[in-house]
Amino acid sequence: MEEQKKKRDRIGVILHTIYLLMLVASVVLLARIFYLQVIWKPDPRIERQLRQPVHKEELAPKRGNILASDGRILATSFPRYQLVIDPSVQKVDLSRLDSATRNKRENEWRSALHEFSIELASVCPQSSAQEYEKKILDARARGSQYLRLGKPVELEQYERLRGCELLKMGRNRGGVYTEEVATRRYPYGNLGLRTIGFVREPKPGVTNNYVGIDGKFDYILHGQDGVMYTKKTDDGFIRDYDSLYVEAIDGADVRTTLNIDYQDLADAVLRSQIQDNPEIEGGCCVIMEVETGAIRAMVNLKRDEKSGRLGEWENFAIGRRGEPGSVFKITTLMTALEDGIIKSLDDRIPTNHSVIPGYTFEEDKHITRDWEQAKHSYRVPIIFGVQKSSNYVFRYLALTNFESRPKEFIDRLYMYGLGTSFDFDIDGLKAPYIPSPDSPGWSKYDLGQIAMGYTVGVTPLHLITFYNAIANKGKMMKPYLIESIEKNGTVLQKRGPQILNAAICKTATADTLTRALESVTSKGGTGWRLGKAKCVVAGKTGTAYVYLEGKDGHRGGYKDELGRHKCQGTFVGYFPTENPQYSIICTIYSKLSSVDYYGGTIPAEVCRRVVDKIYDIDPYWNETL
Amino acid sequence: MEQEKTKKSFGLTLKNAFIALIQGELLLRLNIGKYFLHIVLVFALIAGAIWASLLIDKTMTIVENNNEAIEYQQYQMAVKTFRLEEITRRSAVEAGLGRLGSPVHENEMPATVIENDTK
Repeated sequence: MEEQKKKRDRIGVILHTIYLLMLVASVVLLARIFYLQVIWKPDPRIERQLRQPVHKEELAPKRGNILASDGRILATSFPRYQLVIDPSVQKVDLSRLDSATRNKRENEWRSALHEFSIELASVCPQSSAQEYEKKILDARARGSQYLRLGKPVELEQYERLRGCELLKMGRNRGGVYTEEVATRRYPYGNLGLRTIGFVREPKPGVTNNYVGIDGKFDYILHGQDGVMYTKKTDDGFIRDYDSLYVEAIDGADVRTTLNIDYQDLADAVLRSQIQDNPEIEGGCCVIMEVETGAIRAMVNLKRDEKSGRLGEWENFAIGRRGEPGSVFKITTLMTALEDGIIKSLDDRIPTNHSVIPGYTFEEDKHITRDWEQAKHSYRVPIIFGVQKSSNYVFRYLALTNFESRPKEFIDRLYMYGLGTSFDFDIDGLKAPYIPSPDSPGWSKYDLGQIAMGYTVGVTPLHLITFYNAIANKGKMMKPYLIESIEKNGTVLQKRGPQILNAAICKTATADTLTRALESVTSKGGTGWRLGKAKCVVAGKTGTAYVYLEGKDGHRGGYKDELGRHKCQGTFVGYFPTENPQYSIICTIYSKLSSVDYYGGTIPAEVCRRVVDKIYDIDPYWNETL
Repeated sequence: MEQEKTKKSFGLTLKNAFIALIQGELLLRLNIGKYFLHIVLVFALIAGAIWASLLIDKTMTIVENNNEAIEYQQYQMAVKTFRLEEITRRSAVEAGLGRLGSPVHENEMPATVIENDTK
């Protein structure tokens, strides 16, 4: 009994000792944990390796598309792939291996690199395969860990490269990976590029980085950036669900009013007419739907000074304000008809050898030669003045009726929308300029000059808007480019036609003006080229010399010291006259030259060809069996 | 007086707990045996949580890989749509036909539409 108790005590002591040892060990362990967690600071390099890395990642939203009126894509976004290699891949791992295995693995990698270099050279021909291979091996020798290979490649090219062994080995063994380079793409190339637009990186000396629809609607197209934190696992990086996550919201699509077929044909026609004439600086052509004001095509071609190539470098249609010349005369005629100054186009005014008493203007040969001498008559009908674009007739109408009340005449121009700017769907619309009798520098000649389209400044867009209103029986529609904002086919915001002025003139006045404009495009008129069009076109030609700013001691004027001048030739009209569907304007701008570029020549020819092509393909003219 | 009493009793408890700890009787005195199932459960829960977390990580890796694949497919679709748009340009079609010697070209008069009167 005693012995048994002793034995039990001994076992108890042993167990107790073990227990105490474990207790001490656990106390030591706890103290050690406390020390490691709170007091000890590890080597930062070791800490980096031990801690689970969490990376902040910016989530880029997918940029919205720009669509044509029929849904075809005008601008879209998908990336190019920049190939990058870590030339020192596996180097550290291989150094730990025995030399036989190391050499075997190194040779495998080099063999894969050789194959990859050959494929890379075929995709990125900026360097040869040998050059690529040498570059990578040199970088490996230097211990470099980042090397960009060639220029960013397209998806199809990247897919070809993915077949290479080096890429199949993966980033950790092969060393090759890609960086996505977001790129805006235009399936129709430069067609309508100034209108479709783009957003570019800021560059010194370039102020306009948000161009066209892409620029103006960047806030809709871009979407919202997101943020995600990722953590590394054995299988790769995954989202860290314990950290902040802001989902990227893709941009919405913008559906425009553009008809890319009309844009294409207008571009081709304008290009063909001005391409071979180096004296033409450029030109624009706009096609607008009469009923709605929707712009179906807006072509802007400018010649590159160095290469002579035509491209969409400047938006003339909205950004170049100039004296329009004779196309502006119709405003005078409209005012005369609206005020009852003339009752019909057959009303006659005295010719008076083209002299207006109290004023000294150059002789108008349309009056003295083409009317007085040819017809032996001293009273000329208004329609003759319109058809021949007589300066005298329109000056006469303005000066004899508004000399004492020029402000009323000017106010009418504002009513016709030619003096005011409006909120357009792309930035850069120049505000028109109309002088006021109250402004300093106003002279008694100004009224006569305005009547024939000088001393005022308007853009081609303002002119087509005015003529569109005549075609629309006086109802002035606001020109617009954006039909709707859409996302995944659902319309988020519907935009559409807007009325600028419900009636700038009476319906009867609009009808009379159409008759007048038809006379311009008929035989004997300045726009006779349009008489050959496949449907009846009403319109007006206009030619103006561009005012040259004075410099180097020379005074400004319409001609330089060598007698050269710049021309702005315009044709603007609408068709078919019996039920107008489209308005059209073409303006060309010449460089300094001694040649006159009339509105009745290239612009009229451009319009005729465009009208003919539209006539052939537009469903309005389809016949039904 | 009351405070001093509490302090004394707290000190006594600590002393007794320490002695019990040294003697290896603390858990027995606390009668911890009745919480044995709870302890096992907590252990199982923690182990389960760690295991689930590993599974989630694995699944999320698959999700990330799939997302990448989907994104790549979307790019492929965008590229194909883009290429398709490129070749539908009217003037390009006509020029292409001309190059191939085809007599087909843009129509030179409006189309005649055969009306569907089967309604």
